[in-house]
Amino acid sequence: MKTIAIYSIKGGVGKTAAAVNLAYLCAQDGARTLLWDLDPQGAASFYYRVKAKVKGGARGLLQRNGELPGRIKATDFPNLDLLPADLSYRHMDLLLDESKKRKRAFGRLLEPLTDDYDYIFMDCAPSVTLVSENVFRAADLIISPVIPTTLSVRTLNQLSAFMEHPKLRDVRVMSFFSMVDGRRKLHREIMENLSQRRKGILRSYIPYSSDVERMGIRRAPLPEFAGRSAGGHAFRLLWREIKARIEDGGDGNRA
Amino acid sequence: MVSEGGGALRLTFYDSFDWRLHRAGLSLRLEQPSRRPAKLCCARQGTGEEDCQDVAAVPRFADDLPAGRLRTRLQQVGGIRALLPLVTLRGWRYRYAVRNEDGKMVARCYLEQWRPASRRYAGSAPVGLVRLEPLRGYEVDTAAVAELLRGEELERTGIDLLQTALELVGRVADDYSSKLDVKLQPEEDAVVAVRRLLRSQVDVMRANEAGIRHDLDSEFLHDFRVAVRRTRSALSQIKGIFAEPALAPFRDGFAWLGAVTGPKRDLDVHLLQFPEQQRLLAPGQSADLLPLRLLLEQQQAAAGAEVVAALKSARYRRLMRYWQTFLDQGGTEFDGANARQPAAGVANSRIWRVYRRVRREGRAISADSPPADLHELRKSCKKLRYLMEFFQSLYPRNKMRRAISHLKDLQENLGQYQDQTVQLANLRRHSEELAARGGEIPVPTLLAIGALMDRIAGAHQQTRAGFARRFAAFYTPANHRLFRELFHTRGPSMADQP
Ligand SMILES: Nc1ncnc2c1ncn2[C@@H]1O[C@H](COP(=O)(O)OP(=O)(O)O)[C@@H](O)[C@H]1O
Ligand SMILES: [Mg+2]
Repeated sequence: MKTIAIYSIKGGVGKTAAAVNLAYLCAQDGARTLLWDLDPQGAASFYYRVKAKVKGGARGLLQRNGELPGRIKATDFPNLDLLPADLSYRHMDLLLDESKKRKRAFGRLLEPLTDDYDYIFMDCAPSVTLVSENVFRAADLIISPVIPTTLSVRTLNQLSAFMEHPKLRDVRVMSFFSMVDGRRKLHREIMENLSQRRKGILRSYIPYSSDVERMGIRRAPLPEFAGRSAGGHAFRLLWREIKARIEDGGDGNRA
Repeated sequence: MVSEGGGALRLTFYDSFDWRLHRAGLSLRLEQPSRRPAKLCCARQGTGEEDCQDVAAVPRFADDLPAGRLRTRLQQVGGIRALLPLVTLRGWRYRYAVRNEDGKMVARCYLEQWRPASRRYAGSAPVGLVRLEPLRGYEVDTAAVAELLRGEELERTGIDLLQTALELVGRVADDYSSKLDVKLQPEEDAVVAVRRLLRSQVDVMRANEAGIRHDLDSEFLHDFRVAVRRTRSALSQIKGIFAEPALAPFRDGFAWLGAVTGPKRDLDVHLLQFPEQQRLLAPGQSADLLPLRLLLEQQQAAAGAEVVAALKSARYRRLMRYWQTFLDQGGTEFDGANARQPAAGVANSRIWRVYRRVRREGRAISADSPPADLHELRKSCKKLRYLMEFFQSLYPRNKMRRAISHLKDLQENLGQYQDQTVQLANLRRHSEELAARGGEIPVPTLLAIGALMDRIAGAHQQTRAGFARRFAAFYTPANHRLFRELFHTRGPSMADQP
């Protein structure tokens, strides 16, 4: 089982779009896949038409260890299940703080699923909190979308600084450019510049595309309803590259 | 409900002879649509969860499927047993998605119609089904839809397809088990009980004949031999039930049957263990064993032919026919002295006697006892085990299970020791046979066999060293109390109490 967290300190960068589409593509490859919607807003659940509600809420999830399997919902697509969001996830930080394994609670929750899934994707809310720490500890790989702006260097730096923590050294980090506007010279320059200076930046990127926005209307992953669109194509290339890197193993691709 | 397509289809269900998939809650089917490639699907019954894989044909053993989840799952459940077709249906199927107010799919609905593919059932009416499969996490919604459908008086809902398929051809799932499952009454005449027990073993032998003749997998012969051994054990252990002279020909007959099937079983076992033995060697060396494998396979084929010939022989047919007649008759003509004792009393005294023998023989074994002593003890344990299994329905279930499990642990050690003894002897013999062929046999093969024997000899010693601990675990005051309580103090009638 590989656990992949889609994470960024910032909101609105395309995390949920990536989590929803990558998990879908992963399942399409035949891998048993679970998408855990950790954002109380429940956007990923919404895209999959699953009600953002979990029996017992965040408290129920954390208290009764091992009962996570009973809260999983099948999506409409083969091999892909979803653990929905719940409004009570807003209080997750507090609850984690009270719990015994403050930083390893998620990891423990996911343990019983080891044999059931090949990949687990976590769609995270933007923050640096106990929740994110739990996510980092549970993850094998963190994928971080970056919008090519002059500030993106800072965002990447913040993440790398965080990942220097000794307990997190085994976690791989990859970044990709999101919402790229190919017509803007600035975007192209920043991308070229950053890709040369840093490891762990994926070559595939996701263009700015109204197809991605249409996901909210269609309530389905992009490759499902617009597989041939530029956006659909971009996500497929992105997933292929990520998977190749995972299978390659190795390290040295720290952002 | 939104249509998701469908069309004409052939379905074939598979399981092992002893229903291992069914017992594990799985059902395996080959789907052959008219114009698309066939796929093999393993479903977790009642959940809609399944692993599918495109296949050209269904191989006899799961090992021969392409690597993947399907193969792993099937191997785990019953890898050594052949996958046999149970029933083939032809018909059509259309699939619909059942969605809720958010447009989320909550269940799949199948409209389908099936009839058996075989001409034998040409006249039978097709069965139409409306089948619902819940999606994980939406079981409640699915139940609500099922309720709706039931209101419409549709023919059936929520039906397991395998169940329907079996009904169509008049088969019942789980209709074979090699386990002893004969319900006895404590007060019934011992001879009546024993006849019933032995009769059940005739059924096991009969049920396995076809599988042995067609050499479907190794376990048909194995189950057959267990039934033969149980029969022989009963004939020698349960004394005084039948008049001795009547039994002599049957004793001879079943001894012959045991002997004539033995070599094939030994070779089956050796070949089943072969991959494991190869793993004992360094990766480079394991390929050197190949000539040995070829030799074993040749011998296996020859031994198999002998088994088949034996089952076809007049001697076998006569033996079984006379034995069946002997068991089925109700008269007192062949009664022995204890025939009309209550079954419970006879069971108690026989089990208690053999149990005490096991204790005695085990106690006498020290670190430097010869292997023959362990072999004797192993045989006594086996006799005890058979007796306990024969009569288990007369005793409280939990206590009996506990008593058997203590014995089982001890048997495991003895069984392993014996296995390794046999493996070593076989390897020695085979290397001689190979050497006798002269220059044809590469030296590395003989070296590999030698290395393998070293490994096994090491393990053999370890098993021997583990005996004392295993026996001590069996020879405890608590276990003795359990056996005494079960078999010694019960009931007043002790037919031949020692
Ligand atoms: N590649 C893209 N092109 C255009 N719009 C996008 C793209 N990716 C995301 N969006 C839109 O941007 C908004 C935020 O995206 P989202 O994936 O929810 O980000 P996050 O999860 O990081 O907050 C959403 O309205 C989404 O439709
Ligand atoms: Mg989001």
